[in-house]
Amino acid sequence: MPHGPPAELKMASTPALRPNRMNAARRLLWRADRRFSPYVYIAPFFLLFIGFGLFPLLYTGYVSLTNRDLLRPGVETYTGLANYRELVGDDYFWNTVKNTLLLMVMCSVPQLVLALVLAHILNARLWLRTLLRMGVLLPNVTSIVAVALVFAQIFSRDFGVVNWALGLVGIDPINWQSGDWTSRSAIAVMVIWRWTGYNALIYLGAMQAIPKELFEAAALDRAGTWRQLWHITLPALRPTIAFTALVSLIGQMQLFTEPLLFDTSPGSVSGGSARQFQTMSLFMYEEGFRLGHLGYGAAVAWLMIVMTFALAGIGYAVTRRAVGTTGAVA
Amino acid sequence: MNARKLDLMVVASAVAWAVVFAGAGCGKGGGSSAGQGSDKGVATAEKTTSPKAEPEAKPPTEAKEKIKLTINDFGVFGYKPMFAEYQQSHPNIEIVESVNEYNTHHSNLINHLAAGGGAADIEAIDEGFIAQLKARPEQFVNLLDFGAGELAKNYPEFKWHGSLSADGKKQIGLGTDVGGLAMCYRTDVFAKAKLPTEAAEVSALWPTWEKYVETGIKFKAAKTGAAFFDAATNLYNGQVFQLEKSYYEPGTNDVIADKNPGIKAAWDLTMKAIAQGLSGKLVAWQPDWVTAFQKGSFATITCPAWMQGYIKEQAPGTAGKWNIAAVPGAAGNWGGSWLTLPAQGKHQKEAYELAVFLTAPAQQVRVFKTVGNFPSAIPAMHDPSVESFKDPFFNNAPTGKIFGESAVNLKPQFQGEKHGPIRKAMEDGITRVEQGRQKPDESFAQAIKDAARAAR
Amino acid sequence: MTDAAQGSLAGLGKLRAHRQRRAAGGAAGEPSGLLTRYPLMVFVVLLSSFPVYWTFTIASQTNDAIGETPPPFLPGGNFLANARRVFDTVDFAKAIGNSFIVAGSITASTLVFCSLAGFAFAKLRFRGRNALLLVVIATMTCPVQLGVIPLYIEMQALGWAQNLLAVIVPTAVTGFGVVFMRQSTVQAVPDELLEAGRMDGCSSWGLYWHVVLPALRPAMAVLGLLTFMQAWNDFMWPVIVLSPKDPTVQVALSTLAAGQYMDYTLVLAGTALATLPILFVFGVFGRRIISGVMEGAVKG
Repeated sequence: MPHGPPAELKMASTPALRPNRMNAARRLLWRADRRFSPYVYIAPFFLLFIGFGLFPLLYTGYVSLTNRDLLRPGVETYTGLANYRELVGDDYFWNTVKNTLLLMVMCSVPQLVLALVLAHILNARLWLRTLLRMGVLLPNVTSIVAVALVFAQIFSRDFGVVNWALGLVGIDPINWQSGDWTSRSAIAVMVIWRWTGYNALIYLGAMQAIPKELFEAAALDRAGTWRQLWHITLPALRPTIAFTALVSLIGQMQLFTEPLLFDTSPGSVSGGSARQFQTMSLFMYEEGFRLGHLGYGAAVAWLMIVMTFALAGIGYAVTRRAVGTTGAVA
Repeated sequence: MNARKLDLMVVASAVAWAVVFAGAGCGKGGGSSAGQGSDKGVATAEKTTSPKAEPEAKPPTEAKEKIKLTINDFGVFGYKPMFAEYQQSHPNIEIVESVNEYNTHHSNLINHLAAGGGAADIEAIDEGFIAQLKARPEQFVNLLDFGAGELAKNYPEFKWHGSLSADGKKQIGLGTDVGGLAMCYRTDVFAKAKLPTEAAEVSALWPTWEKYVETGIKFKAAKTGAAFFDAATNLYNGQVFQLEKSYYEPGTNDVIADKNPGIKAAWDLTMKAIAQGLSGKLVAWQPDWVTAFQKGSFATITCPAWMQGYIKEQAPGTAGKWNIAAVPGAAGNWGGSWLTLPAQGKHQKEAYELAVFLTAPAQQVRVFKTVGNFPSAIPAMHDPSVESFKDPFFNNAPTGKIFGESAVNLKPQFQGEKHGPIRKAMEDGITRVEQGRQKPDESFAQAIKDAARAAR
Repeated sequence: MTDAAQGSLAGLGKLRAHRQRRAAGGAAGEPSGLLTRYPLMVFVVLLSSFPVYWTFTIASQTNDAIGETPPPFLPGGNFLANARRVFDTVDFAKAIGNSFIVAGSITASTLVFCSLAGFAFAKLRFRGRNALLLVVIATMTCPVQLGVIPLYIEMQALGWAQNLLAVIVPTAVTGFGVVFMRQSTVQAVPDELLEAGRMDGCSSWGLYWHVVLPALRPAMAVLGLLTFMQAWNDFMWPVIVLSPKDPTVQVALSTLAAGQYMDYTLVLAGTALATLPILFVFGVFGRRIISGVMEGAVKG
């Protein structure tokens, strides 16, 4: 059983403790380093954010307080919170909130579970494991054009693969776009297909920190794959799972591409003939770009940000124990 | 397989693909053919109404300022050979064209207009977006200022009005092509249903849309297994196009979708057709729809000129089984574009001259001959090569005449700012009924509600 | 030892206890799951790769062939001809080159700066750390579609419109990368090592270079791959700010898709050609970094 830092990673310098004879200048440098280096290290991110992330945010925020028309820049008037008030009372908006949240649950949960299972399996010494590991990432590599094409074919009413398979067991052809739950299920399939490998790779990376000996010992005890997954992999990966859950939540709140592609009506952003799968970002796009109500669309964007925060906060509070220590020692 | 072997495999395949790249990259197609100089002469002669653009004898010592004109378009406008010519006759002008996919092109344009920069000197705008954009005429150059008013008589009324602002004082575009509207039908399926198959007879079957639906009912009774038409939205739109007033009170921002009896009549007839089972309930461009073409799952489809190329490409096996009759009312249009000049542009005069050249009737004829886009200029429509055009794929139907007439007959209809989204709301309503989600009355009420919301 | 190892160790203990109880009860041991593992993986890989396979199949057909029903499932012989058409229609070689420049730059900068920031957030103590981390997470929550307009205005002001810089710089360091690196550092770098390093008089940079980076290699490999892929596939922003004269590969594909109707063999041939470089990058680097280093990396 391993204990303590392994030889490979220990630096070769410890045998004799260096005498702490630093002169004043060095001590000053040392303190400055301890104090300021963190800020230097995080600076690139924040500089870029201030440069390119903050302006769009503030611009959108400002626009949301006006009645700005998309194609009439400069003549908008300040309307305060009017857009937000209208939004809160807007049935169409709450419909999209419902759709987004439903899709979030339908997509995230299976995706993460599958990703975990896949990563666990891929962690072992499988034959052709590298090809398999790369293989699961292919959906994310596949271009949008191909994805749209393939899934349009698969969920096609008259000649699609799924309806054909259902026909074999005597079920009538389903119009996947038209139904509330059928459309959401189809979109969930698209999202899960596309993002499971992505998360599996992240889990795979994190699993490398689990000592191989643990798995070997478990195998010696004749514990099967699933037992190993449950008792060894899962506890080690809790923080990573929390991380992917957070990222998935944020991504699902902004779900845009898959529902857009799924709507067969050309160029439609209404999420189906009855808005059955219109998500918040589609709604934002429709209001801002198709109808030209940029102020209203900006309000949707900001409300989305606030809601994402709220949800993420709730999620964090619920899983707080699982996040793990921050381990600030240096 | 050990690590080394895998590495070798990867490198080998990389090399193989590099060879593919090289093979494909070399031997690029030859450059565009040199000018068809005689046509240019014809073009200048016909351009009696346009402002003087030809350079006279160029003094070789005087170097005009070099200007780069950018033009953004989508699909296939067929302008490449004309650019070469124009650059030859205007040596100080360089033309750079960017082609993009339809939706991408328009959303880029809208983004650039909203951001106040990045649009090209000439932007092509399709019918689907013109209503939204001409409602913001300040974003574009008013071509009337450059004397475009003289060109009005070249165009069918609806085409000229299509890019005219609501108050009629600002013209933002010059028409390039039109779709026109006709009814393409399958002669073999009609024969099975014991209906006439000659184009003239078929056109006589449906002088009105009501008669069209009646024919459909007769067709259904013959039980050929095919639907009468592909999608009910086409039936609805075909009728709405022919109305004097559609969703807006002309010249205003008042939505009259709920009050307009013409809209209600179009809706009701469409509902009747759906109830009678005439619709194939398909959605255009989807895999099902394409397959339906190939299998003959529907007998008629409202088709604009550009649909012919599509049918030929997607269903080549159906050659000779199609014919083209007039659409009920013999007037209609689906598609077509304009060339516009965003106000952001820095070389507006030069851009205008180029746009006039490209949309001149002579050029439109050339485009028709090479790419098949149907001309929007009336003189071009009457050009013999257009008017007498026949395609054996479509049983030599006189498409040149049919589409031309439908475009010329179409009365202009005022399309307000939110015409597009309102139309979409109504179409969604029809789709909901087709899909069985809602009953016609409910769906109409919902559609009106959505339309009002879109227009707010 | 790392948190991960600790968690698993506890798990193994529980597993052992469980096994002993079962053994005591006389139950037989479980099979290793081999029968379920391989078929499942094969199924998954088939599902995952089908659209890519389909892309290549269509890309090697002619347009009338794909119109038939059922459509062809095996590749045809037309790939070179379609590829040639791609190169005739757009300057595809330039697009690929640009995409490599863009994706490569973004990946390099992401790896460097996100690992640095992740290290700082994970292991260094400084005032405002938690608040700033929240800000980082917050930046991930912004929907991008509306941001296009102000960002374009900025690019125009900077003079970067239609320049590759406009596509590289805004996403050079992402919130996702920072949080991911922080997460990985917490999990993979044991505090004892850092303490030992400090005692040896290591500066923060020295800690980063000698202790953190080696431990982070698998995570960085993952982040590098994901970032490269995402940068390669990014479409919405590049298509607005770049011109088709100096495009990335996705912008070029949009030009290919222009047509009165979709010329699928052409578009998918372009797509196939656009996917090849990324598969190549995966093949060479992914294999070497992930599989090789993962085996010999941090051992508890």
